[in-house]
Amino acid sequence: MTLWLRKNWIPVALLAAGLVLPNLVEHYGNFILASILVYSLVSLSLTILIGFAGQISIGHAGFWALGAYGSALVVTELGAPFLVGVLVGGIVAALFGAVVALPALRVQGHYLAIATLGFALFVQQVLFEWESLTGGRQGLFVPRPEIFGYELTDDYAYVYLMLVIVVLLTWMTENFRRSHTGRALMALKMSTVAAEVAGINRARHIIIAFMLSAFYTGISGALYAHLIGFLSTETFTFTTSLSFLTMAVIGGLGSYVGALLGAIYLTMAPEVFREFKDAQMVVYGLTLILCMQFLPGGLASLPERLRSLRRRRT
Amino acid sequence: MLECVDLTARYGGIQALAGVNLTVAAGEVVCLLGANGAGKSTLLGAITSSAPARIGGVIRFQGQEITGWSTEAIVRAGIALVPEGRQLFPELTVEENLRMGAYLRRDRDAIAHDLESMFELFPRLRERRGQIAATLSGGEQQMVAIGRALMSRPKLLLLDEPSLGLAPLLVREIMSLIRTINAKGTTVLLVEQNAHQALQVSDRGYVIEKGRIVGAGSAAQLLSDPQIVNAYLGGATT
Repeated sequence: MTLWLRKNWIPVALLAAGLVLPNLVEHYGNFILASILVYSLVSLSLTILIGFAGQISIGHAGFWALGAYGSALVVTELGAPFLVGVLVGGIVAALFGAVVALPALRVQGHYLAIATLGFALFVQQVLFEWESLTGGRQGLFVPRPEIFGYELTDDYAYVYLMLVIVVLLTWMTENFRRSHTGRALMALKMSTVAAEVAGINRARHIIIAFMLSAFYTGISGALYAHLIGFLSTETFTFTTSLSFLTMAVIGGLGSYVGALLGAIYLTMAPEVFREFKDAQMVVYGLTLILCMQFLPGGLASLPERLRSLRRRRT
Repeated sequence: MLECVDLTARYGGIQALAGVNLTVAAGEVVCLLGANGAGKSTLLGAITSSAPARIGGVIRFQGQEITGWSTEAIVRAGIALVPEGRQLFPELTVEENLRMGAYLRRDRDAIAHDLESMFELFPRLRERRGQIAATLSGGEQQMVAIGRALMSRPKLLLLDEPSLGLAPLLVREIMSLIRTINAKGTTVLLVEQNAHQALQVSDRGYVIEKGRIVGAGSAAQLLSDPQIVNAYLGGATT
């Protein structure tokens, strides 16, 4: 038991913090916590796509939007329960994920990045123009989350619901990583030629990675929609996609703690950087450059990095 | 066992293979000789469906047409490729690399048994089974690459320039290993620039030039053909 605890103290501590924190903060604090959980799902989705599969996307705002609008519309127009809406949001995003995977089968790197960017711009534009469905420039009101007939009127309860979802999806991710498919993805990332001649079907695995990543981001978008209560296409811009990527890089790709740290960074940075007003984006950019230069493993690698620095000094 | 009929391959406007006819019978070691860019690797890529080229013609394996099959299906059918430049998984250990070769297999016990026989075939790898592949010497890496391909239990083994970048002594060692592997029942198609060494271990050979087969015959015939000797064996050999 103690050995188990020593090995797993980080997730245990994080879970404990997640359970206790909502009680210690005010209303706005719970909104911040909910935002962190929303972003951590996007972070997790990029961990799968970039960290495991070695693919890139600067179009994740597109999947996020599909999840958000998908869930909002299913709940408002069809009267579906909130949790069904969230699931639909994820599934809609996943289906588009399969489509976005198609260019990834032919092009890589910069070209793939541009293709994903094109996808996100396309989604945003269509949502904006489709006024009868999405409200266009007027935006769309989204009801509060509701489970089994109880409306979660404040963010306090919503945070706990999200916590369950995040823990569940993190657990799923870890299982995926250890699965046959997860390992095949990592093999493809290490050496595509070697993996293919070992009989790993590249096309199928890349499509799975994109679909799974899009699914997580769709779920996140859906949770976000019901948290904010109002959707406008201005939320889902190129800048949003970029800040997702920034979050993943700063947190540290390929580790769950990194995914969470990235989400905390993305949520807290506007609060902290607000002082800089118009120079905010400059500060963001600078942080990203400094991080890539001095901390390529992201915030998650900070303890390791400090340890190695201290060792060098002695 | 393997039959290529009028095989063509083009990358955009470049014709890499211009109607290649080649057969490999069960139990043989056949080598394909040629200079850089002659189309050797493309031919192996076409057979395994791993070259990004447009393929024409017919490829038959054990009487079944496999043209256009996925690489996965071809590996399943019993063809394994040792790619040019070895292409190991650099961050994995020797044992993990070997196990990756058995990716499509689900018979755990037989895989463990085959892993053991790889260590018998390449005793040097046994000592290094836990070592990261990127830290191996060139010869050891080549052994891992061959072992990995064998882990899929192929009926036909395709080797793409296994001698590349190896010291002469190691080249000879790899070549004699090819004979050993063949003696255990695996048919081999060997692509080489090192014509002399390749012909030493082969039953028959083909010579490819600019995407066309320009010569074929038994190893002994090719070794005594003055044109071949001049073009690929560095003039008169002693």
